[in-house]
Amino acid sequence: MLAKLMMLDLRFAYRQFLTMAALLLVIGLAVPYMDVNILRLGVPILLAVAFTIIPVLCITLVIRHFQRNLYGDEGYLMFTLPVGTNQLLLSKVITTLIWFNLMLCSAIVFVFLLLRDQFGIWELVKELLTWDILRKLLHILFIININVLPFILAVFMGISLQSMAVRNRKLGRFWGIAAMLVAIALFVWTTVRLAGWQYLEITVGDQAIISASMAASEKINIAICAAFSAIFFGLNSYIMQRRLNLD
Amino acid sequence: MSEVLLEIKNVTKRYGKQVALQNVSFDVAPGRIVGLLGPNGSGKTTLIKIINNLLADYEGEVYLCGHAPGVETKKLVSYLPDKMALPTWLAVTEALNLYANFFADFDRARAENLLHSLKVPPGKKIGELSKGMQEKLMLTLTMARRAKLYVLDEPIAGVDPAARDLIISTIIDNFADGSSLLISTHIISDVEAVFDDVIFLKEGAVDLQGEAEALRSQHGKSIDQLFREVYRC
Repeated sequence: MLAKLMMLDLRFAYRQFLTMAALLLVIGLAVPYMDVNILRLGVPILLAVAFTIIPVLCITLVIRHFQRNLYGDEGYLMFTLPVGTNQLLLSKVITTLIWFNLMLCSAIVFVFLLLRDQFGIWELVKELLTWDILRKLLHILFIININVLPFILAVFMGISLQSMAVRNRKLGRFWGIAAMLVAIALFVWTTVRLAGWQYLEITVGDQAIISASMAASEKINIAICAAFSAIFFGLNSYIMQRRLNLD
Repeated sequence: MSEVLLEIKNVTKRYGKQVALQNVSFDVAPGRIVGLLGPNGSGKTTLIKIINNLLADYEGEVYLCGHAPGVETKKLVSYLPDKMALPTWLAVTEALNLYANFFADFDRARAENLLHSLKVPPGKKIGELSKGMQEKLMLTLTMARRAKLYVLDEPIAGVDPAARDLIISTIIDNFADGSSLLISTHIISDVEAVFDDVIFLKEGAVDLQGEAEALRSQHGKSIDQLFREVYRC
């Protein structure tokens, strides 16, 4: 059932996400062939599109889908499907991570394409295609994903909280956004306080100490992300199971 | 009534200080067509949402075939909401696929026949259909399931009088043998002939309930006349 839900969630905006990813690649490919005068004017705009407008569009799409699909009219279908609320939520989280990774990869490729005259891109690709490098890249991707997860769940939790205010939706929206911001701030503060400070000590100079410190920080960081994700997921799930109030 | 399909016991629902349902209790036996009657704001939709697990925060007990509302009951209830619940970016045939994927009791051949008889164009996107066509599609998907209980929320409210008969006959001809039908409506005259039992809701409480025929002979009035009398302003 989870796979079926994910297919449904993926289909809602695959055209928009694929178009945005393709747009990034096309811009990245086209830039070196542009006239210098156009470039002077165009590059800041292109970078603004790539790193501001597209991420904002992606976030808006994900939020709108979550809100409409669960707490709008479509909720009357989604909550009457014979699936558990955890599966409904998990499907949304996994598909959001899929879109995030697609856009992240597109952005990285975009940067490589922009800088392709600075270094031999094929040589770089060949160098990256070693098992050791790929393993490290996957590890970095995992760390990025696990750090993004609490943000996604905090946003979803804020939207779910909004639905609880049945008598005053505007007030509910205010409390939902406030709770989301507090949750995100708490997560960031905890991460910086408990894991981040160790990164700041990397000025010591002793490689062994640096490695040990970073490894410890990473484990703490993963533990914090996992703990916050579990709390936010649990609260979301509680609202959907015990406090659901569809309009 | 030897067995009970749907059991509602002392259900109360509050929205803040406002009471939407107050101590509502009734049973629905298998094979019965039950009219849930009441004017707008009487609590019909709230009760239907509770049966379908769309409202979780209530007092009292609800059981369907012995299960409290949840994943198990969703397999047994076919629900027609009073809103367009399907994603409008889906095509009609994709909506059929969606129901076939999620509901084991969905009869695709029956759905296709219903689409044909109700003249719903299968190739179009739902968002491109008129409101009337969208309602017919929702009705098709609901009635093409072989469910234990069909819950229809105001199925004829937005339909013109000419199409009402078609909607009602589609409902009556297609609900599975041995299953029950709970129809909420405030338009009684067109549907009263099909009711086995009726429940009158007034200001969130059950005002009158019983077998439709017994109520008719007891009061010497049709259900429609009785409704007008109960809800006279």
